[in-house]
Amino acid sequence: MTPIDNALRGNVAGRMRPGDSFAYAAFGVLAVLIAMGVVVPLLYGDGDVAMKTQGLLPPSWEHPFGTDRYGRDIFLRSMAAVRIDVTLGFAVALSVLVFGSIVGALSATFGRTVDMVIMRITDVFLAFPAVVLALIITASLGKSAWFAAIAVAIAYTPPMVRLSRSKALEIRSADYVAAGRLSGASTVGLAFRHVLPNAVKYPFVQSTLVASWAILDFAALSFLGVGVQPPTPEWGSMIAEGVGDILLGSWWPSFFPGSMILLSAASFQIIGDWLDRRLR
Amino acid sequence: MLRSGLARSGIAVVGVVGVAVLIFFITRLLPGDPARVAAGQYATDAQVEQLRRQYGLDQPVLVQFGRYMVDFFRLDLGTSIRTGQPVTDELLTRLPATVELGLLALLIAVVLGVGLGVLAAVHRHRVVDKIIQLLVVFASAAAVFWIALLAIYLFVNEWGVFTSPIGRLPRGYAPPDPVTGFYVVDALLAGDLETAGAALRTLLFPAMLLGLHASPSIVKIVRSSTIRALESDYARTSRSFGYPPGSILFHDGLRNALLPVITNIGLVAGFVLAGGNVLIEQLYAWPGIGQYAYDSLQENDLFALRGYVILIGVTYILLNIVLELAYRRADPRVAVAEGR
Amino acid sequence: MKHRTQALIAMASASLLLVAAAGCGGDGAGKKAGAKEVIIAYATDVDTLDPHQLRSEAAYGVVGNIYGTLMQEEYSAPADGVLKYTGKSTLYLAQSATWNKDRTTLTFKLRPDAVFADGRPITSEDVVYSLRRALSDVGYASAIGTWLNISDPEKGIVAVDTSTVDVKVTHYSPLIEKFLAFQLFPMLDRSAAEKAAGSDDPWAAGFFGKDATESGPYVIDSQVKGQSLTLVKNKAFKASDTADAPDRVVVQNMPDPQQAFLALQNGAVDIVTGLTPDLAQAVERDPDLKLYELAYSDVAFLGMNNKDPVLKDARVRRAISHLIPYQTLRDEVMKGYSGAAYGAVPYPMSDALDPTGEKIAYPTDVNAAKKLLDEAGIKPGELSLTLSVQASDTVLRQSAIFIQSALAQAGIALKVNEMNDADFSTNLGKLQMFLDSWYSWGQDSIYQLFFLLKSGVFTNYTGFSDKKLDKLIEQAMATTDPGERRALSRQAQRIVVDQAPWAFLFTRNVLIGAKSTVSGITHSDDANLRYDRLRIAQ
Repeated sequence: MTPIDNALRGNVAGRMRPGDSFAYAAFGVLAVLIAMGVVVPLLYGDGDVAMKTQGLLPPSWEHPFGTDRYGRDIFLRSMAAVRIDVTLGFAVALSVLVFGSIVGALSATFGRTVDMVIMRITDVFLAFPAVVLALIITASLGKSAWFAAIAVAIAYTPPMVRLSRSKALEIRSADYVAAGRLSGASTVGLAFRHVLPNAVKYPFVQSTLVASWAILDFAALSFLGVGVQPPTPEWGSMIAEGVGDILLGSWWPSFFPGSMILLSAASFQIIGDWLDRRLR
Repeated sequence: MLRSGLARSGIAVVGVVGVAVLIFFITRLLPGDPARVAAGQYATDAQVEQLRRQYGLDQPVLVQFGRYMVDFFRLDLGTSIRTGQPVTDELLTRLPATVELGLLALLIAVVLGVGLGVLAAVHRHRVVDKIIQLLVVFASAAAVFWIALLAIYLFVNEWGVFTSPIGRLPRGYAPPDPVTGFYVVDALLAGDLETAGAALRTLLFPAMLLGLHASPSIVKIVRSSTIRALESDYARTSRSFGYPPGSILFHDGLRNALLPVITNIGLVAGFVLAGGNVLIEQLYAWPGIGQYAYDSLQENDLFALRGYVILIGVTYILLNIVLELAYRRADPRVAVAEGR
Repeated sequence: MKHRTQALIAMASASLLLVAAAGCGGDGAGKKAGAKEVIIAYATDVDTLDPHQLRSEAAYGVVGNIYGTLMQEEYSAPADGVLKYTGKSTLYLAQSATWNKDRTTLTFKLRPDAVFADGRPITSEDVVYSLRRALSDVGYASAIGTWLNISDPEKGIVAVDTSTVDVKVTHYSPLIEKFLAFQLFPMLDRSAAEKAAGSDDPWAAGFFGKDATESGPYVIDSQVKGQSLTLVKNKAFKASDTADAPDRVVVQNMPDPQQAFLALQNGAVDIVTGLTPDLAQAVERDPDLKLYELAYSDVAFLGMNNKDPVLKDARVRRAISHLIPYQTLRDEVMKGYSGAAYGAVPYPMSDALDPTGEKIAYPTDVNAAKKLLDEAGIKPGELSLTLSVQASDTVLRQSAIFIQSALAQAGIALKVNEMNDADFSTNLGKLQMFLDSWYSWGQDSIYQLFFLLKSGVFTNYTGFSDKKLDKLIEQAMATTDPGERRALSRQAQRIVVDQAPWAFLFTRNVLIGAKSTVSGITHSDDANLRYDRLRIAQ
């Protein structure tokens, strides 16, 4: 086992175990965010049109998060951004989970050569921190929300492959798999029937954390200007647009999107920790 | 031990070559025409054509790839399109700034991570633990660029705790004579305490942010492994022998809890050296390789960007080899368990 | 295993020590008290020192101050901290500059005390080499060089004796003396260059990229790549009196504009160049800082590709021009630091149609726009366009969002495409619509029209083509009579206003923030600071 395996396992095994109250709060926050992300834009629009109201109004009853320099309502935009940011978080987590655990399980099941090739490939990918890999991939593919999401997903897949492989290896040596092998079951059949389901538990926990990291990295990419295109509301690019206003005394255009990132990423992490405890 | 060391080196070489191959093909996909970029907006087609020949961009991809790999093994990363200087030199002159920042950030992350982790473990399931858990969640869920912006505004301009970030030294200080490239160390070597202090204070601000942001995974690992150790049979035995709690914490808890930290440092170092740094160096006007990468990205500087990513990838692989060897030394069980 | 615990304690105490040591660091004020130092923040690093490779603003600033030119811009006496360009060139490294009778040969005689920083005298051979290099293909300065009317640099630039050089031109133009004061025509050391040149690098581009043979008021002291470049006074320089000039000038790379402003506010830097309008406003509000707002004919425009099937119809282009919220852009994006742009040659450019900087060719009028679109056979909701903009240009990026909303009012769907600098400049010419700005050195109307709107010129990014306009530009370039030139220019400008190849958005003022103790900002023609003109009140 390599240190990275250990470290990642340590990451999962070492997850905090916040009380259930934290977890319920996190579920609540996420549920409210998603609900508002769906409902608010339907009822009030996504605040995309500039010059509807005056620019840089401080938070008030009419504009709970204030308005940005273009006179767009920051609350509406923050809620509309839920659809992009949280959806991408989920999408990345899901694709990483599915792809990563399948490759990991296959790698563990198909003997030395396949295993070695897959592990060396993941080695190469693991040599790049997610943002750097995503940066160079988005720079190559072009600027679009989906490309950024794909890039983030590619960055988080190799660790997932490693995790599910190491879990699968443990299970492979378990008695019931040996029994299946003795009774003549095929390798592929074994991988899908026994190894994968048992190995998927830990990757599942990991994937909630991936969702949290994906939201952060995606915001960072947008902040660097390789994520979404304007005027699509997205938290990272909203912060980038709003930073200049801080110096002129308007803290709200960047503060609220930043808080949204914080809330949603933290919720996913707390839920991950909670799942980790429940599934163990 | 020797055999597995060789095997490891073999894997490392494969990894390094893999990094080079992967990056070549990813950067081949970069949009835009590097020759056109190099020539500038106002160049004529003939000038662009000449540069294309000069950079070998008119050759078939496979020929380019062959040349690139040969150069790669000669540690030649090509010439920057943006500045016209060798990429290897440019990266190496900027590397000390990044490493100095990264090492201090790593130190802060480890001290903070171990301290908070142990604290949480000792007070497990109580208020202190809960507070630390919340801190950890929020530290790892905050967007680092957002926190950095708020921090600069508050700490520099509102409260005046730090001087304004304008690179590696505050205003009025000359860089010390270069020996290691680390300003703090070089200033100390030159016996200039004042400059060393100033360099350190400039360094401390971005390093604290990076360190804080990188510490959560260490807190988590230290906490859980310390709890495991404290609740283990040998700790119980020590307790039954009547050793004081402090001694049990140090001898049974910490020394076992720190092992996994070594392996985690690899991941944290990767983040500190590269992931967080592109953003942090940009915001703090820090003249390291992260800023170089950002500038190169803006200009589609194919060779510079390629060089940066290769440097990160190779460093990371080598770092992990070193950490693994350290881990083996520290814990002989690993080698036994792997059956080598 | 005890050692690990000790290591931990050691680490913890080391970090405590670090913090303590950091606390001891002085506050950095005046370690070099006495010497006058100015720190100037640019948004870029000094990426090359080659005077013929125009790359980053910072590099441009440095090159302009380490090399001397034969002539220099003349400035009026300082008023409110600003030295204004008078429109004339005066002597610099040259002792005299005289035209022959039919104004086809300009003879330069060098100052006897003109030397490089190492003490070697500047000779006519150096001048010939330097001018020929500027006109060569080593950089793209050659595009500008054609305006010197030198048909063949080999025959047109010749040394007469060791201190005299003849420049032979096909015909006189007022631009020649103006242009020779540009830093594109600096005096380089020929012997150093020829030593460094090779067969694959005839103009020693590798050498001049990282080394300099200084002939101006400053020499390079040191450089920390990616961070700063320090200049000190050139002791050998005698062409002007630099006694009161700053002793040290640090060119600082501050990529983030907000950080640059914060650094200015707390005294870490003295001058910030290229402020965004937002930050300019913040500078103006701070009593310790001074904002220099310098008017230039830097025109921001929305280019429309004249080869596009829809946009080739002038009515559509006029309709889009009528939809631009000019006042909003000037108020909300430029924060008032801008002028109106009437056509492609805005005030205060020479021979501009608009003498005051207030005229607008197509005032914001949704109904007029709808009518024009209707005439062109386009119904609301039918038209969908893409507008490309450089993500690094805050002003234009913000403008794009306002324009997007404004075009929606007439049922035009606009997709904004933010690009990085390299993508943008690579694709210019192929873009359907784009936001860009252009500033012509010399602020000459014919020069501006030639580069931006003459058929087939590579910087005519909209692909606009009008035979009558081309003819007028050619005639104006050939004439030596200023009155005739002006008349031709105005005719040409009217065609451009009528055809609306662009929407003429506004002109951008150059915004420089400085500590109130700093003065001597040059309102120069090339928008570059002359560091030796800066003054610091102690």
